[in-house]
Amino acid sequence: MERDKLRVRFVVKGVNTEFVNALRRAMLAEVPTMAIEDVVFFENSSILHDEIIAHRLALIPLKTDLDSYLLPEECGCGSELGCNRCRVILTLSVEAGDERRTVYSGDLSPDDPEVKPVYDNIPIVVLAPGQSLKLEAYARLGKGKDHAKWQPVSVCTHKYYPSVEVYSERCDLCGKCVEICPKRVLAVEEDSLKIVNLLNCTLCEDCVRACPKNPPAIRVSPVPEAFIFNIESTGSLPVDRIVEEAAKILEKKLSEFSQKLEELG
Amino acid sequence: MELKLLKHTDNTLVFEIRGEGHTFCQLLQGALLKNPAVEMAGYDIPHPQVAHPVFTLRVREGRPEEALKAAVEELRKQLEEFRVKFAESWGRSC
Repeated sequence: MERDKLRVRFVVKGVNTEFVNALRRAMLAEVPTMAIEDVVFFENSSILHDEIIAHRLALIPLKTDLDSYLLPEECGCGSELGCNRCRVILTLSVEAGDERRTVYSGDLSPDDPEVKPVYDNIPIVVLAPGQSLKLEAYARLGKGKDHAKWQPVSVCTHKYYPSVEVYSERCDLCGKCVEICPKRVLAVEEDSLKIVNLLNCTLCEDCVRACPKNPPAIRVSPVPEAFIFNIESTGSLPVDRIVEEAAKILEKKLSEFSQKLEELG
Repeated sequence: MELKLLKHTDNTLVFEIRGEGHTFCQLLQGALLKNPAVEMAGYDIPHPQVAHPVFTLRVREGRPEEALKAAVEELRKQLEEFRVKFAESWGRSC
């Protein structure tokens, strides 16, 4: 496992393709996050139309508090714009004086300080002198399958765990495979061909084709039932929470399924 | 999720899983196909814009319901194991 604040790369062993793919799909489309859904404009004399500004606002990732908010369909309030259990109000009021002024995501002030834009420096619109923008935005929880603005991940991929074998008795260290590898997996060190960056291998087999020997002195193959996951969060949720939530969502689906199955008899 | 039974015999079960898609169906299919008693497991989404996959299951021996139950149990165990092990390697308890 390699990780930093927004990214994680980890290896899963002993599971099949369907399992990792279901996890990937759940992270992309089923883990809820906060995003702006409705915007009420009080004043907009900027060059952009209301709907374009609303769209730009919606795509701003917001820090999400999954434990204190409900999905609109799970909340019983029935209100069109939601109640304080299922939405956060962000207000924005900017007036350009005598100078040109750019409105940034940091100008949004939420009524819940926990649900604020992940980055303060996302430009929304440039106001010319004298123009102003006043609005109220309603952020709600939603799922990536309804709109990409609710996706908690910007990158979520898995690939086979690679295995690279070098047959040293056939290899004459010509270095052609080292040169052609797009991911710089191989290197000639001292008097042998070394694998320096195994996890970066994409199994493209360029090295096998570049090898002048017949049969080739190198072989790449996927390791059965082993995968490398690569996930990058948009910042709305911590990356470990996304993985955990995805697994929980799948578990919930399974419980619901077996319960419905019992009912069918 | 709503289930609708379309066909039920001693060795075959055909049902609709309303409101689900590839995420759930392929997971179930993958787990069922590991079971040697399962002759065939698959699903079809007749229309891509309507989330009503039709799941078909046929078994060589035993009852199809038992195979489904076993697959769901196994998947649950696998998911929980994954969650615990992920949390462990992240360096916190689950």
